[in-house]
Amino acid sequence: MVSGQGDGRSRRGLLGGVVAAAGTALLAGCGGSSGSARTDSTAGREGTSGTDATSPRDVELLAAALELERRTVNAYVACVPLLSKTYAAPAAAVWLSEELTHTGELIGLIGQAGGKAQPRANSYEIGSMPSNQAQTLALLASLEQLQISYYLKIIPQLQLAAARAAVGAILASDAQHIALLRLGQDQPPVPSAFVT
Amino acid sequence: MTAAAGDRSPTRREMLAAGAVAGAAALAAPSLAPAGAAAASADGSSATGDGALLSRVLSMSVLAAYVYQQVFAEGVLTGSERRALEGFVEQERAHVAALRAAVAAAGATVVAPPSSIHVANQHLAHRQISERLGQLRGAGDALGLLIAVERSSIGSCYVALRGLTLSTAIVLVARIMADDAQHEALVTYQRVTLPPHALKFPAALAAAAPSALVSGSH
Repeated sequence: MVSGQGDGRSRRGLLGGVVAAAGTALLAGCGGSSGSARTDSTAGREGTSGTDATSPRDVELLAAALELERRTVNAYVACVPLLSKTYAAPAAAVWLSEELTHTGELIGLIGQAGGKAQPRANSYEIGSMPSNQAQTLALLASLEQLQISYYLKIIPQLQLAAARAAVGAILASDAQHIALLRLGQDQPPVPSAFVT
Repeated sequence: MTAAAGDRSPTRREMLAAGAVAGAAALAAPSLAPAGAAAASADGSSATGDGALLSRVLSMSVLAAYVYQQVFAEGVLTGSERRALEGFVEQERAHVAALRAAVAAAGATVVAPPSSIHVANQHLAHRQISERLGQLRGAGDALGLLIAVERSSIGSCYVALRGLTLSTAIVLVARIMADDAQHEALVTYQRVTLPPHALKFPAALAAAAPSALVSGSH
């Protein structure tokens, strides 16, 4: 549990810096190519749709995706301070800001599908905190893999065309993250022609 | 790091993967159930529409495989760059094989590879890609071309995902899109280590995937 770590004060300071940096990146427009980067702070608002199409099924599928993304965000927030500044920390901070953008995008999609995103939880279970850099990268890669697997499972079930395309764009981003996390672990970064 | 990452022999694995996916697509196609995205049917899409969309993805995939092959043949990449990217040629061919099977199963036209560098360059121009095969002046040009081609491939998949209705086709295109996104990141990683950027490892890693929503050029 991220919020349960013992060195709360120093970690809070570090995490605050990471989140602030991620927020700055988002505000600077570095978070995405859609030109409509949203943030998780929009949770609870109704989305505006350009069409009348809604889909309760899409809302259900996307809500679960949002929870996965929020857990991954929490993991990045907890893990970035554990990574060396001369190794993967700068990249992980960028990926954190991108994961935050994913949560905002999903909240928007939930709204477009006629739903309302639940507020984020106070904490998310990410298992045992890693004790070294290799474990940290492996944890982040495992969470990215969970997201990828979930997106590949739901993408043919999504009824709204815009949601399918947007989820494809999020999936592709997560696929980049896991490839670069593998690179950071000296593993083959793109081991297959078909991401699974 | 990158050299180590590139030290692999993907040919057999990728060919097997291509065969498996293409086989699955061919087997599944005759009884392809409409995706849960039956919504797509509401916008007038149909299996015929899927064939046309898959053909467009295939045409870009065929061009990408051809470009990778020619870039390697032109000899402008350094040894470490070649090692980092060499598996991508077979992976692009695997995409082509799987998409050909899916296109054929959907009853649409299977696209042939460019018949010459000149024809490939016409296709690149049509897709508003500025670099040209046969005129690459170094690794920077070559990597820039590969990045542009990958972005165009990603974009073709992104557009297709909006209209495809068949579950197997949607998943196939999503898997290819994600793989091409990985290629784009790894080629970008190589590109930003060259002048004028000349980034070292941590900064290059951070610069390799700059977009949160990877939808390519479309």
